[in-house]
Amino acid sequence: MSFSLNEVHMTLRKALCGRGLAFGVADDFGAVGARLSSGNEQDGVAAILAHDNQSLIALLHRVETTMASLSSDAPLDGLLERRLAEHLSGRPFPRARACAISEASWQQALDLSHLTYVPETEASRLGGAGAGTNDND
Amino acid sequence: MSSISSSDSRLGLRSPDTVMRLERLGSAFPTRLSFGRSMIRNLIADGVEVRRSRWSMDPQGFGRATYTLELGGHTYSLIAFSNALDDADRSDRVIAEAWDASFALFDGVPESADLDRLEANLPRQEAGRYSEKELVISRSNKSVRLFSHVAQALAKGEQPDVDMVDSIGYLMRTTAVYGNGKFGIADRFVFSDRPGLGGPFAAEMLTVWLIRNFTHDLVEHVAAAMGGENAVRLDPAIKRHLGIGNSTGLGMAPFLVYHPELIHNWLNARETAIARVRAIPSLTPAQAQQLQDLLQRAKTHVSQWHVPDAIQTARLDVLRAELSAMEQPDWQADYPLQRLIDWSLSQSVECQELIAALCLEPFGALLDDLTETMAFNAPKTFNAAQTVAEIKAMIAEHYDWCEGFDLEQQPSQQRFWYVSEAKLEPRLGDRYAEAGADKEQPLDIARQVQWLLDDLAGFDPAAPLLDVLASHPEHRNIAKRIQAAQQRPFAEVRDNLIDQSMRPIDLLRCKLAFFGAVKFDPKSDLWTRITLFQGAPLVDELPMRGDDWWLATKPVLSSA
Repeated sequence: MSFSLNEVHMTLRKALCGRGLAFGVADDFGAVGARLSSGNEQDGVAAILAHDNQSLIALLHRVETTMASLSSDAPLDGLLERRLAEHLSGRPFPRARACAISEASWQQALDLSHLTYVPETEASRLGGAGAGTNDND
Repeated sequence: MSSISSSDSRLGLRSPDTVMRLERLGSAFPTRLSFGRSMIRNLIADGVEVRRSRWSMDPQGFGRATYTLELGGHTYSLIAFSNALDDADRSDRVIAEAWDASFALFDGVPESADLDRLEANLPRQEAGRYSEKELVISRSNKSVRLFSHVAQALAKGEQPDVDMVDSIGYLMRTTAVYGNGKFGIADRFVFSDRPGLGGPFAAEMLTVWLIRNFTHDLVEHVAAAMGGENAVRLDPAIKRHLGIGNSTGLGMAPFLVYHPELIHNWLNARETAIARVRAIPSLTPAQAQQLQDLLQRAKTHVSQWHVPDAIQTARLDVLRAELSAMEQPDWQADYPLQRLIDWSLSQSVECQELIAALCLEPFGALLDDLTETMAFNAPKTFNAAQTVAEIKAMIAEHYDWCEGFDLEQQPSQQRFWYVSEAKLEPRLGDRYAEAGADKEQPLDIARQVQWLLDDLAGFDPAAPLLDVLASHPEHRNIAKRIQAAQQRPFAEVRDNLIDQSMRPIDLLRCKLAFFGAVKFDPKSDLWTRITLFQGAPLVDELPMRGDDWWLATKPVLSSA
């Protein structure tokens, strides 16, 4: 199955929020997951979800510290660090549909995303936006 | 290539403290910069012709159809499936699972295999799976009353009742229009560089305009099947007045908050346009006549805008009274539009926004370049090296409006925005009466700013933001927004979006007005129906009808 990059970004962001990561951090790693996944490069969803929340926060801090330091040529090890740095600096990348995301990692992201949804109740259903029953007018 | 020019920067724009309040956003009117308008202008400029390439419908109007057009060197097709729908299943809400019709804007000309694939997926909408060939997907429900009336009238050889056509305004209403990669469809970047589709929601507007055309064809088809030789086609004036409806709920509101750069671009273009016309020193006789005609049209349009909602009705009553009592504008005076806009400041907010939109209408040559500034395609960046002192200074300059909300008071944070597990329908909850606030969506901008300020107090002013975020990652979202708002004064809705008194309908109207919607018909504080493309050119009259369809009025038939 192939995925649009925006759905990779949005799904991964929701998954990370579902795992308890702060929205602003989850948004960056959602974007990095899409960047990693672009054009079959790799399964960016699996690559991000392999790290726990604290590791992602620490990784972000390390990369931003490196980018902020005067010795900006300090090495960034690994593909994830490089892609994160490119994302943070707004560097363009060749954008193409994601085709290397496994069913298992996508399902994992969907399952985590589900944790951001509020369970349905009759009251919330009736209070939702809409006619409530039907719209045969 | 156009831009907000350096001369524009010397114009006095309305303050974001005025423009970005909910009450004013919720009083917005469509303008010539609205996306439906600019899309139609692009079609006209490119000499677009729409061809009905497939029509396979049974006598009841169930089957499939395709329409094809060339725009900017690319071929696009609208694919439509019309299905029988039990009345019990007809709901405009996100939680619906079946619709009268479903659609895709397809990149190219679909082959039979594409149609078969989409026939298995499109009627299921969110439950289906799509490819990069689908640029937009949508679905619609009939206005059962009007569709039946029009079909029966035409079948008998009569035209439908014009008052009923005007009061409802559409044969079908869309209940969602999905773009930008949803459910596997094409990312926006696939077509955002193509001529004619680069503007915000241009592909969605093209889709919806084509759906409107499909609804016209469908009702004529059903009437012909019912009436045989007696049946007639719609009078073009009535057909033109039949736009396409839309039901919109809470899902549209988070979009405005999640895209601060884009929203700034929309508002900045409109406000720049208002400033440009204010600076016009004098009018030509033709411009003065056009404005006079448009003012009369606006009065007629408002007089024909009736809704059941008590709040909107009261606002319309005030607006009608203000327009009725207004003195004849002096179009020959110096700076006549500045005078008119300044006069409106003593009237209701609805009146102020209507007058501003009116003043833009005759000045395409001066304003239409601004539509090219309304998209946002640049990458987002974030500078974590910024100091605590610098971010505090930014807050003082652009977020001082947050200080006015006492978030210690329960009503000031009564509500929370969330996504229901029921088909992921966006909803609003009561923090103190309902479960789920732990899954709150981050639309509480004012509260986030206050929390950030509280925590910044514990840091050295020279400390970099990245030190703050290492121990407070929860502030990263608001820190990004604050940086994004630095050069974008219209990036934030300057109200408390979790306040008990907040009306989501205000956010919806703002966005829908930028689409080009008219006849806002609020059904509660949470959702509204509207009409798009009312009065817009039909597919076979693009060049001759042109761009002059702002605030359409009820048609007067020559035979009536």
